[in-house]
Amino acid sequence: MPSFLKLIWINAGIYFSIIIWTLTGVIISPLCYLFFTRILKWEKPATLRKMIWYYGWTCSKLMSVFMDIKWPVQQQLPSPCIIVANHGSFFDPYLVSFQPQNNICMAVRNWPFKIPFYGFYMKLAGYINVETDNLDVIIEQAATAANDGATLMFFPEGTRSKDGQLSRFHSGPFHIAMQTGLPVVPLCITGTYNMLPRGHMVIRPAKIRGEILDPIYPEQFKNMHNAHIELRRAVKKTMVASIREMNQKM
Amino acid sequence: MTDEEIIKRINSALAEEFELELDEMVPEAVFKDDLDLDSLDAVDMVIVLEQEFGIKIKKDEAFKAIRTLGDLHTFILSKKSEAA
Repeated sequence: MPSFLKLIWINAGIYFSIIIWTLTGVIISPLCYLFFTRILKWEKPATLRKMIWYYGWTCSKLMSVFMDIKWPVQQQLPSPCIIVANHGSFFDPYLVSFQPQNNICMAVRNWPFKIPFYGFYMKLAGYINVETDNLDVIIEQAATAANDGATLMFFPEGTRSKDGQLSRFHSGPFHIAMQTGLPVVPLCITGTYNMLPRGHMVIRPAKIRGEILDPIYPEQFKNMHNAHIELRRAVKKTMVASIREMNQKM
Repeated sequence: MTDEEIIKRINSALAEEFELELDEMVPEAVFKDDLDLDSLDAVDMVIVLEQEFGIKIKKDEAFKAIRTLGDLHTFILSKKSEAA
């Protein structure tokens, strides 16, 4: 297929299918939510988290029709745990649904809570607002979600990468790991920056690959000075090496 | 502890937390524009400073008005003198 036609095919396909699926979700999700929580008596926040995961997973599946997306054979993750993923593109929050856990509690900034429909569901799902000025509240929310069987998901860069490289990590997830003892599971995604860099609207063809790395346990850092910084460094180091290796394989 | 020592400790704690170079840590440095720190970093900054100096910063309205490293130095120095 000529590259211009391919570009139209990819953009029309991905945007159109995600918009249609989102509108479908807007219509059917309240009914599903009521059915699961009222009839089947499922736990409310967990139900919503699984519904959001399913929405993201379906978006990712739809994307994979138009884009070369390969995810590794699923490995079992420790449960609960803290997943930290790199963030190159708008589509990363959808693509992380390919990892094996479906009860995912995302940690997000203030602004997504203001998105109509999305924000309302995020609040109901108990998503963590990391832009509050109080770590105690954040840790309390994280512990509540973890006790509820949820896996915590962070993008420690806090925003999409400006240049495709791994940016500085914020400390939030590493403070939580040190205080709760939850293991940190690095999740590396490559290709999404090439697919749709920050500030762009046109999706370009790219090879999207995901890799789940071995868990890193906070116990080994607990006697160190500034333990959260040491844990943060260790996680980032392993992610940098893995992303480099993944890019070389492309 | 002298004011100079306190300022030194503030700078080295922030440099380690935010992966900054010490020579960037000048009083007139604006957090957002010069040090590339945003509202998400404010959460980490509160924790670092509370741990470093054993003070309470949470819910302090004066902290929210801080824009430069010099403002922060002044804020911490006044906190320390209050505690003394």
